[in-house]
Amino acid sequence: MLRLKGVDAYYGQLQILKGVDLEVRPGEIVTLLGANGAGKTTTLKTIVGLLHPRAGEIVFKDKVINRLAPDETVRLGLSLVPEGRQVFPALTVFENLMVGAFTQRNKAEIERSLAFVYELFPRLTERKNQLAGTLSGGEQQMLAIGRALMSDPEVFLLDEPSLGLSPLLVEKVFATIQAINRLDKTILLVEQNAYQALQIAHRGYVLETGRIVLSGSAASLLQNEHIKKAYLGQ
Amino acid sequence: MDLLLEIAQQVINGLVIGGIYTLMALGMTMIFGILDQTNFAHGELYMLGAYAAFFFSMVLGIPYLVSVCLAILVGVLLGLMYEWLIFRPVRGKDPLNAVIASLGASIFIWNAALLVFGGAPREIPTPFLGEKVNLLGVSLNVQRLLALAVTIGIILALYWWIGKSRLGRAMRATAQNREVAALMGIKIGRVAELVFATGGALAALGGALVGPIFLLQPSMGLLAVGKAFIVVIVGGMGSVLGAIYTGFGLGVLESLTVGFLSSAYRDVISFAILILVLWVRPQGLFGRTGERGG
Repeated sequence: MLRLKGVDAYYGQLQILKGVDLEVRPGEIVTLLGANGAGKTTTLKTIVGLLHPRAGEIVFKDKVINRLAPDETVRLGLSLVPEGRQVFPALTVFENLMVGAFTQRNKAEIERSLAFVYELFPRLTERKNQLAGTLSGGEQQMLAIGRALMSDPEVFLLDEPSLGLSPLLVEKVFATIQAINRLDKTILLVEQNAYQALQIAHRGYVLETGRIVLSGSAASLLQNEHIKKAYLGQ
Repeated sequence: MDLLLEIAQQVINGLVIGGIYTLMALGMTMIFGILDQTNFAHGELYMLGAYAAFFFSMVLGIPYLVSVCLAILVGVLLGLMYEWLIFRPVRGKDPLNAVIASLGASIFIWNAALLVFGGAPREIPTPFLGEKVNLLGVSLNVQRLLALAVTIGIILALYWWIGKSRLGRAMRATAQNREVAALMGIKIGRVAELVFATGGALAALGGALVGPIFLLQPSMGLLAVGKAFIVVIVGGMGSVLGAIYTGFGLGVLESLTVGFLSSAYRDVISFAILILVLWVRPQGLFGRTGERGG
């Protein structure tokens, strides 16, 4: 469904991704693990078009999307929940969700998505007229996920959704990701929290200094000695 | 009682002028808040709007109110030209580039206007100019009342549009976080066109409305843009509500100063307020520190 082949990406002169190969198949939860600075966020930014690869190919639904801008990739069905949530602080919860539905023109569809998000996160219903900047970190994460769902994406990309959340909220966020996956949405999950991510993922990749160094089923990665040592602290 | 009437008269005059400041400042503050760019050539949109109204009504003989609508269309086109020719090429670069580019454009347009229209002041006689109505003893010029009514109507409509419509939301989202707005499918280039078209329309409307009250001169934009800048800064750069309150407030204050002190103090008042605000509240009356927004 989504495939990266030998992708190189740069920030200015600095090469961040070095020949990244990665595949996400329909209905899967795939997790991309790695330490700070390994290139995880860059990978997501390159997929959605905030950055463009200098070499290699990004293919989504049999179409090369290397040169597409983010407003075009979202119309194709990719939706990114950015790192650090990045809700629009001076817009209300409702307005944030409606901006998420910017690409949707069908009123009935928007209403349906809105009802769905409110059902998934009852907390957001209670606070729908509150400015997003006044929400707690956990609520902002729910809003960021809800906002990304409003475009009715096929592939859902999440950048460190557990960052800065309490263990209880982390559990809830991961349960939500699983629930969204059960609705036939394909998920690419970037995480530092390797253990939690591998618990819900089908497959995983490990990125180190811009290269994929390991990949396999979540179960096999959980047993891998290198992963145990470097990412699970065992 | 006479004093009261005099005050009422000056307040109405001040609201008319303040409305024009507001029309200009709204465009400038939107351009700054949403696109992070400063338009020093905004006064030329106002000047060209006034000359467009003059051209349609005096040269082509079109009725004044229709000419005003046509001048707004000219403003939209000019705004789009600004975006395509001046601001898009320097977007995402050092903000100083936009300052220099628009300053250059201002000088160029102003001098081109001087060449084409000549330096002699012109007037637009309208059917409303000689008319006066008496409201509770205050004698009011109909052209001024018309300018005020149209200005207030347009500002309310704009405020509703920014606050409630899909595109208004998209503009505010872009102001708060351009990258994430793009992720939501918002085309930033389209938003920029919308912002400049709106700014051009508002400034041209201002010019077309006051054209008949004052005289038309190619340099009229320079004077107006200075005042509009004070409004933008005092109101809080990027704040729409701040521009509205400050624009009308400054107009009334200036008018009262002229009426009760001396016209020599009119500009002193605006600059004194500017200095005071920069001193005690540098983010502006309605501005927020750190983040920007509608």
